Amino acid sequence: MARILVIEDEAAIALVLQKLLAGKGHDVTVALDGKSGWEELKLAPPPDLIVVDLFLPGISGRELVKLIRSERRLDHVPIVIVTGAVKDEGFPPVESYQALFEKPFDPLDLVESVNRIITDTSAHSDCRETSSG
Amino acid sequence: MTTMGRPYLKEEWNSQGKPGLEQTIAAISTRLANASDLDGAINQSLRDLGTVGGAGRAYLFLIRAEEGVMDNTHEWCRAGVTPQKDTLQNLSLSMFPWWMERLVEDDIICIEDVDKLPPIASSEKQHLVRQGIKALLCLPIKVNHELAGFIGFDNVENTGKWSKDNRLMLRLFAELLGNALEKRRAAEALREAELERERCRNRFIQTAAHELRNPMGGIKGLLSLLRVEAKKCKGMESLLEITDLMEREIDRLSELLNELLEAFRVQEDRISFSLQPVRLSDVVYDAAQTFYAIKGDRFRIVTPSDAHTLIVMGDKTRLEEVVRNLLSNAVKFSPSGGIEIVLRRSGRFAVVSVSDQGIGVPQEQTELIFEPFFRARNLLGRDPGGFGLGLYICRDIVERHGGRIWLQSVEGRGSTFFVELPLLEEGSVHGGSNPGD
Repeated sequence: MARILVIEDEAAIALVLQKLLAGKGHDVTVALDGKSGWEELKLAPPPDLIVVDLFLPGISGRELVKLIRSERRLDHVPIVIVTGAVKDEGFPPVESYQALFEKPFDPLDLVESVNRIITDTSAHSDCRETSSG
Repeated sequence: MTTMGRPYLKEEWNSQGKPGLEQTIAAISTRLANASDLDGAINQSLRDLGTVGGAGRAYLFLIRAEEGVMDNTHEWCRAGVTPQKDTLQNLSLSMFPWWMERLVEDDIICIEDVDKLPPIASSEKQHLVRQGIKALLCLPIKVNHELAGFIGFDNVENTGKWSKDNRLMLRLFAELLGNALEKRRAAEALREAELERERCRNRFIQTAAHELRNPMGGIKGLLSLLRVEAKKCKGMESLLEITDLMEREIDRLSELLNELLEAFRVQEDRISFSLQPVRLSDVVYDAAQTFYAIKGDRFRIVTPSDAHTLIVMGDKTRLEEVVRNLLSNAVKFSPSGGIEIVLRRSGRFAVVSVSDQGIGVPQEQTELIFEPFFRARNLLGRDPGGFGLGLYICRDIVERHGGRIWLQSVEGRGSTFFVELPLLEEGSVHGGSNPGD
């Protein structure tokens, strides 16, 4: 189980992701705009993964990605981007996120990708703990 | 203005053995009216008038009223006279108050002796003396009844006063020039308005597409959820089927939207299209990558041993799009059979061809197929999907690379699309680095 923050202003997509990810046993929090997403990130303990839309009211997804990557506490948290934007249209640099889904995407694909990233990340940190300990 | 001092300007712009002013202006009027290259026509007119009038220099200044400056845009100099044009740019109108006032009043400025200019013209005198001008003649150019600039003739040889007739003839020339400039400005304004309209329309389409994708994503997600829920209950098979159908429709809608967006994007790129030296073999391999991964056994890529020298000036992403589009067509219209991509040199061109062994295209449609919204529906006997913009986009991209695209096809046997692009000439790659290295 992982703690996942979904920042998405399209309520239907947010609902679907919440249901499907929760169905896989994850603890999902939803923020419907950039500002509340950023507040959640600042106040709560860092999540294990963030799903973020690029176009959000308040703080845009682009800015959020930048903020997350420049905050020491959050800079290691994997990011999955969802977007309705046209390809290459000012996407954040590829090294700043782990996966990108263009709308309309199959949410089951996204769930699968999230699970894989979480497995990879925890395997990675387990390794690190073993080697350092 | 005429002064009574020593006159520098000759009485008649006519001496024996030379064409007269009248004939010269008649020739100029035809030239200006029919000019596709107005700048060239102006230069030639200044040369002809300067020669006939025995001037040292003939020139045109155009005023940029909003910025309050003027530029010397065209110039002709007699042999041995130093051109001044490059130093006479961006001149503030405020440096020539007397001059400007006269021109606005539609006066001809006729200075027969710069030394005798009145004190009111001291600023002008300073400039003229610095340029070594002793005498000159200037006429205002009006566009839409506003002063747009002036033509001038420096140091006309021989002395004598200007006859009324000659001034009238030069007025006529100034008027002709004004009309020609007016026509050009109108054409430029029209073009700019068209571009702006196109930009506006594209912005609108982009935003609309953007907004459409969100609810589409929502519906697709909800359908997915519906399927997950339906699978949990028994006897919901029919619901699953309906969900599948709805999902397929949403996917089709999404593909249509993408195609439409792409067509508009290509048009918008007309404004910004970045060209760099591109190795065509990279384009071919990168574009084929996805297809290769899925249907590798059906693909064959043939490149010549000197493939690394086949470099064109192009936008790599766009060229890849062309090849990908042709490959996707080949896959769509030839459910089985091999697909071959061949890259070769043909003189000063490189040719990429994509061949399939599919249903082919009737002879009479091999050109129509590149038209927007043309659909080969009748060929398949079913809807091939999409708007029929793919090949139109390809042609647009190829033509903007100075190349051409065509199709050879035998119905029932297969099709070959050819893309021909001009090769970058050797030695014209600046910076010395090879692309892709």
